[in-house]
Amino acid sequence: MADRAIKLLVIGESGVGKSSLIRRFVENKFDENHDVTIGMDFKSKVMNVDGIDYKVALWDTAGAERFRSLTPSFYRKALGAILVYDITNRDTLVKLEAWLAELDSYSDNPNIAIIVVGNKIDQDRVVDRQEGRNFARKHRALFIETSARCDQFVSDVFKEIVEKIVSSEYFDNGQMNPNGMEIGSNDSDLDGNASTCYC
Amino acid sequence: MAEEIDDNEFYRENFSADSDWEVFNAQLGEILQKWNVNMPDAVRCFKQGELYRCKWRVERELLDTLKNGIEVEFHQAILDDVAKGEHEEQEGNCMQRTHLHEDLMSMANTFGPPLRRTSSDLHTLARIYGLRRFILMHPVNAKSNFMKSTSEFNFFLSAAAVVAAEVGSVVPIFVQIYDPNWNFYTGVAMAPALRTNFRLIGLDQAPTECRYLMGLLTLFKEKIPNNYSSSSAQPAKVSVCTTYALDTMRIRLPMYVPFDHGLSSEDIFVEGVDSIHLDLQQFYALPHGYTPESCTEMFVVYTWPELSEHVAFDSEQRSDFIPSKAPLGKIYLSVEASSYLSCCLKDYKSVANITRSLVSYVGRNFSGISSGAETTNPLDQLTEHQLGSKRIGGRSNYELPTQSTLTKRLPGPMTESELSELLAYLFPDMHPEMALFPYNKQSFKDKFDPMRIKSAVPDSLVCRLSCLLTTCHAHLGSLEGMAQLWAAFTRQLRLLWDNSLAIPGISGGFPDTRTCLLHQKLQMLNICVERRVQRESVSKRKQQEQKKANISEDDNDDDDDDCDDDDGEFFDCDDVNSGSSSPVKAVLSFKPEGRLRQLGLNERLLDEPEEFLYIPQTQEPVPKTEDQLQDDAEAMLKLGPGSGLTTEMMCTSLLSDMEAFKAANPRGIMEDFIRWYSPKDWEEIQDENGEIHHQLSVRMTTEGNTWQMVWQQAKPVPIARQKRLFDDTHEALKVLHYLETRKMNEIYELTIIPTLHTAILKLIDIFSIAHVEDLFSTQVEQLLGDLCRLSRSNSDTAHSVNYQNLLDDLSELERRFYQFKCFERLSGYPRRSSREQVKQQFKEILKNDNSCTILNKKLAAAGDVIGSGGSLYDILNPKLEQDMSERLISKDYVIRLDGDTKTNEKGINYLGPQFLRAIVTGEKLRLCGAFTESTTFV
Repeated sequence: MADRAIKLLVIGESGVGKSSLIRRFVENKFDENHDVTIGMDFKSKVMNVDGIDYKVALWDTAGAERFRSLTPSFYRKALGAILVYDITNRDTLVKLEAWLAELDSYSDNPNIAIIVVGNKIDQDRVVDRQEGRNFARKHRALFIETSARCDQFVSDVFKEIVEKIVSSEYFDNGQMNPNGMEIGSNDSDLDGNASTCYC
Repeated sequence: MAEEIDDNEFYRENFSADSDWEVFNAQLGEILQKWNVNMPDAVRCFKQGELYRCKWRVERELLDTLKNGIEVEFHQAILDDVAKGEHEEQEGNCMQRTHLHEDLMSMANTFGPPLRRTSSDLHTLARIYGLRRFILMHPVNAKSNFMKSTSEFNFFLSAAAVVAAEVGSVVPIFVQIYDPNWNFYTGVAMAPALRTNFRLIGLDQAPTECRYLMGLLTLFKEKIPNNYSSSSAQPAKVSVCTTYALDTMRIRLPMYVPFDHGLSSEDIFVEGVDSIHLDLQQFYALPHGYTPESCTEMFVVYTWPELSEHVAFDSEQRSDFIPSKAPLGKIYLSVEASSYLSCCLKDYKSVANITRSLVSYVGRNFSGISSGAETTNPLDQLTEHQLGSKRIGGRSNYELPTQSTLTKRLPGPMTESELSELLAYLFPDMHPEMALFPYNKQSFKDKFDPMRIKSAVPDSLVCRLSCLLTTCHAHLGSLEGMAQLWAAFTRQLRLLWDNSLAIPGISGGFPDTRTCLLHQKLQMLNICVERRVQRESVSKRKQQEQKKANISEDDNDDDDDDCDDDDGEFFDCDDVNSGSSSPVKAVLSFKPEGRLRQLGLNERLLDEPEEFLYIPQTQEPVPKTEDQLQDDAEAMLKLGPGSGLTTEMMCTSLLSDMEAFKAANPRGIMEDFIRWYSPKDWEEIQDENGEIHHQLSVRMTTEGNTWQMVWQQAKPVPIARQKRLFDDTHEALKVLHYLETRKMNEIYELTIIPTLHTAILKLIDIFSIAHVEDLFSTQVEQLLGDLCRLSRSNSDTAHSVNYQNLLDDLSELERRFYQFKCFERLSGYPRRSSREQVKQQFKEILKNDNSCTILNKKLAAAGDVIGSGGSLYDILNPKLEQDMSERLISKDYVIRLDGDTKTNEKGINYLGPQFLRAIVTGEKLRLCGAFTESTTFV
């Protein structure tokens, strides 16, 4: 059981709903007023993919600038990263570039699986879906839009990335393969997701 | 037993009186059925030489017969599927024709390479008959004097024939006959109305006529069934190959061991063998060179792939099978070379199993401090004033205090001067008089290796040390030498730390978890040194200021703080005075302290519009090495998800920042803090009148918000008086202690990756100097890729990673390089051939199982110079012509005759294939026959 553990990072600007996504997924709760994450927090959940249970540890990071020096220390050994932005705030998507650079320089896994999540689709949209998709495509990531408040497509985020990770060569060997598969290079995948998240 | 029995009647059968043979048949039949040997053949032709390249699948079963274990093996070649189109051609063929017949008649795999690769799992039988599938029975225990007599193997052979017919097996079944000198087999294969008998014999002294084609043809003709000679006028097809041995090539690449000044006994000049030296661009503390036994054996093989029996003449008196008449010629290079580099690395691997402690080699107290002193109060040592002043004053020249412990000789095989030479290599700045290899400062600023091997910057202290340890282990005093060096290394580190000197040859900055743990530890030590120097210089300056201030009675602390550098100067609370019980002294006055700069240009406090909002000086983040991070993460996992304790762990830095903020902004409120710290939570609100207000976000103001609670706790304390989040002294001593207490296998784990990394870099260097990088680039890349993978997979698994495959690949690559060197000389480079030509042909050797075409009359006729061997033939042929008969080591004849596969009016008349292989080596002769007879009228 222990070797079927998957560490996922959830990163993004402050207030985009990282903790809410995790909370919705793990506890199926939504709380407008929950605590502002300090440093790091983590929750875990057992997920079943193709009949196999995986213990998924979700590492929630604080979005506030000041914690940025603290959080990278927890990037080690992460197999996947969930990059969250807020579709009501274009700046949060723009800032994802910086988060990605941070991930790139601190992650010890060159083949880390990445999913880009546009959260808060229950609110008035400012960022066009296409912009999020373009960003995801540029970085060979998966892409999905969600609402943690209305519980729309939240579980898909975690399902998609965990499936991606367990299907990759890397996970099978328990080793990282520098020439392993390219993550998220499948464009039809992206289109599929995009169409499901219209609401 | 086989009587008809009415189902309704009482049914009984008695097998108790069955003979051994019957029982064996039943057992064998069951196995054959399990293996599906009767499955229809998807017959497809072999591709040229395919049999010698493909992998084999072998299934094994044990049978117990006649009180002896018999192993039954099923060998199958794993051939890749070819497009269907090729199959269809075969389908028009005779129904009787099985894959066995195809294999026996196939011209594609008549002659394999003359050299047996040890790695090849090609069975002799497959090699002789060109079979893709066969079953072999042999005694389990080779020494059990069994299967020697005719009756014994006839027992099995007859069983094989009966069972094969019963289950409809078309796979040949062989029985191995025990003989100490020869591989003897006898076998049988069934096909519809046909039976092929396999016989192998060997003669130590063959009659002369049987050693030439003419005699063999006569023999063949006698053996084949009568109806061949009468009905078919087809001539037999003959294939011949002759093998000549060339002089073994020895190139001497003498042993080189860095820092070993003793004349190595192995480096004695060998007469007639000129030695060449390997050139390198850089110095690597790893040995190189090849053992004197290294050599390349060379064979030239001439082949006549397909002749009609009437075309060629070959007898004792006169032969057509001489090199000058051959249509095809190939050279084979069999290399046996072991390199000192690979040997040294393989030796080092054994350290992985040695759990002896360092102390058991070098004795207690080798580091120069008594074990008690470290725990009581290391601060006493550090705050010693004499040292302190020297530290700051003597930075340019490394005049170090001579302590008796540091000069105390470390026990071990190396002498003082040998050891200091090694240390001069590791710490060139400390020994300027003997340092030959200063660190290249630039390389540490370069971008990190894109391959991202979890190692360290090439030629960094970590790489140098790792290589030296490996070399010491192999050449300079084995484990004792290794322990001595490691102890000397840690002692040197302690000396550097005690004198606040940075460790050279290490990348700057925080411990980088993408590098190896040893590198991170040293980075950590350097951070500690840096923080300590900073801290001490500040406190020193403060003392001076205090003195000044006392004289002038002028208090201008604020201004001083404001004009402090931006690089996060750190004020440490005075450890000695404050004591551990109350490290924090709240400032009750409203005098602001520890300001860094204003937030924005015109941000003012909410409650005090007169005052600017200041960003306080904050404590720098805490650096951690990956093992510490691992501990942290595990602690968090243990505490469980969402527990308050996790938050508490995280709150220390928030509390520190809040206290610093309160000190810098005595009249600030939580809202002010949030404006700086988490501006997202300072929300803009538009009320009904359209006026814009700001307020804290809902999540910040909810009941029980952790931020609010921490804010309540926080007292205004500038970082100068805060408890240090990062205790550099403590951390540094932890690192030193960690390194000093490693066991031998742990030292190995810390250093193996940088060693292997450097070894590959050294090879790359050797290749580039020899201008052969392009030849070996795929192999090198493969090695780097594998190392990258290995370097990451071991970080926290308890069992150590297995480097055996990587080491094997590495020594194979070194072997290949030696082979290249020999081939280069053979080709007469540079006088008789160009480098490009040599490389081109060597590529063929790499790809083609150590062989390279030197003659191909077909291609030569078409004008393809390189493909036809080119100049190599001209170089080799004169050498051969001189003493041709002496160099001839073996002749291989294969005679084949196939029945007519077309069905004529009379019905089935396929006669099956007839096959004879004769291998002549000197006077010895081995005959391998496969003759098919019709069973229709038997």
